[in-house]
Amino acid sequence: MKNEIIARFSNVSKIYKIKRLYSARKSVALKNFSFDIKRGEIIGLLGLNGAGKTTIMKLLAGLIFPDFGEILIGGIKPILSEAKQKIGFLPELPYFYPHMTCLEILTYYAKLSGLKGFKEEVNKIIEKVGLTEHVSKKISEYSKGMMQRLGLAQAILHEPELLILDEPVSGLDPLAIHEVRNLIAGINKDGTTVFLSSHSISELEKICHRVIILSRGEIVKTVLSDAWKIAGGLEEIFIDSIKGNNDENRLITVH
Amino acid sequence: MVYQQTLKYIKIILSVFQHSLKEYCKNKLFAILIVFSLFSIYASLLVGIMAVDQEFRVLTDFGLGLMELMAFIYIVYMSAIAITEEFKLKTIYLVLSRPVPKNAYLLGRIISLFVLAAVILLFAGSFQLILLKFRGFAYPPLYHKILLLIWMKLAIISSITIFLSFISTSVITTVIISTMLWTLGHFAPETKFLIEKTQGISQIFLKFSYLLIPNFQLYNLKDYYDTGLNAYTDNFKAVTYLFAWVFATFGFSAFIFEKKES
Repeated sequence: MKNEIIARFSNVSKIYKIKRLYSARKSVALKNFSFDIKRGEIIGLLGLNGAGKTTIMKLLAGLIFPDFGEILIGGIKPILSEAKQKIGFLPELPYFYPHMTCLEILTYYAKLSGLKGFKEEVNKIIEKVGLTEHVSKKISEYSKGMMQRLGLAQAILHEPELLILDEPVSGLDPLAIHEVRNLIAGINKDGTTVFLSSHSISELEKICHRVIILSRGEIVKTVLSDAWKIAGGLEEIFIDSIKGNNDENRLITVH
Repeated sequence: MVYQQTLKYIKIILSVFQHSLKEYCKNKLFAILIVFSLFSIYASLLVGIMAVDQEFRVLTDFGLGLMELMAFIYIVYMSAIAITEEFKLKTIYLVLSRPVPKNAYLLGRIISLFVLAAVILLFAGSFQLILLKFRGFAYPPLYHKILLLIWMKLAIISSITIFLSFISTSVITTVIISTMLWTLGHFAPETKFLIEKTQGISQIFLKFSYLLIPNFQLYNLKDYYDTGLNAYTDNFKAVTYLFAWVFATFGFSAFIFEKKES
């Protein structure tokens, strides 16, 4: 099902209200954002800080709600349980309870995901992400790379159709980046659609089939892997796209 | 279909409950408070001995008071951070991005706090009874009922604190307001007396306060049991009052939580 759409954003806008003592400031995080995620692809979201990447991830995970427009995952709104069953989410720099073990944490999330026979599933996932040796260690003893692998484990535990990864290699050393990249590629090979955001152009180049360049809450360009291979890299395309979109004012103040 | 949905809902509540209880009991503050309360109850032996012929009464009153205070401190603090800390640390993302109804999650958290209060009281209560036995005293009259009523007070203040945590700006504000309500709630009979004695705006204000502040004196059997004064507690009223406060605050909390973005 190569061109089957698994998730769709239709004219989505998101405005954050920043409360002040007597007024509120509105910050537009997304403006008329529309795009589709096709089943089986790895799609990347590239943008500067504050471009709206995390907002898109959170909207897709059903953690925040759009002010305008519609988001559908397999035809269902992300806030509904049926849609949440289809997704796995890894936030940027995930935090886990430090006094617990990897096994305890994954068991908890497996139960919340409603997995039957979760013990087997948990052990399988621990092996898949390479944490078998560290299974009885407390999370406080984990390195950043191990935390990220645990983050991935909790996200893929219930075999989601769509995996949403917010900055999955942020703050990792080169070896850990390599491991996480291989894990993501493996998960995709197993049939899971991957949607990830990153600051790292080279990371997205290595792994993505398609990259969306985002600036100030708007899509400025969608680039296919063939295009950046011909152009000799994604960096020039990204810089040109961002520079061309620099003059817009994205803050509206309301008193 | 409805049966399966209900079963799924109950399973989620149980998972959150188990996880939360484990989290509360593994907290360092919990260990410190338990050790401190056991030490304080033990220290009450000295106070009791100094009271000569009133040793039993002093030992019992002192221990019960300390137990209630320690449990109150821990329960109010844990209730204040139960949900807000999850937002702050972003652990809530990993929960709410799953098919977990927000009210089931909230219910699991609240139940775990209620059970935590019971665990603290049972643990400290057992220790106090051992001390009393060691000093050669019999089981204090109505002791189990006193503990149950203290637990009811803690359940009410815990529910209120969770609700306050959704609307206040910080954990400190939540704890301060809860402590104020806890203190004022023990002056409900005095407030009622003042309502009868005042008129006009003062009376309206006092009536309003009387309605908004829970009446903890309904549960304060420990103040009277040994004097015989008001030793009788209206069980039905106490239980109804508990359910009314818990359900009302849960309803408001669930409503705000449902609308809240992560």
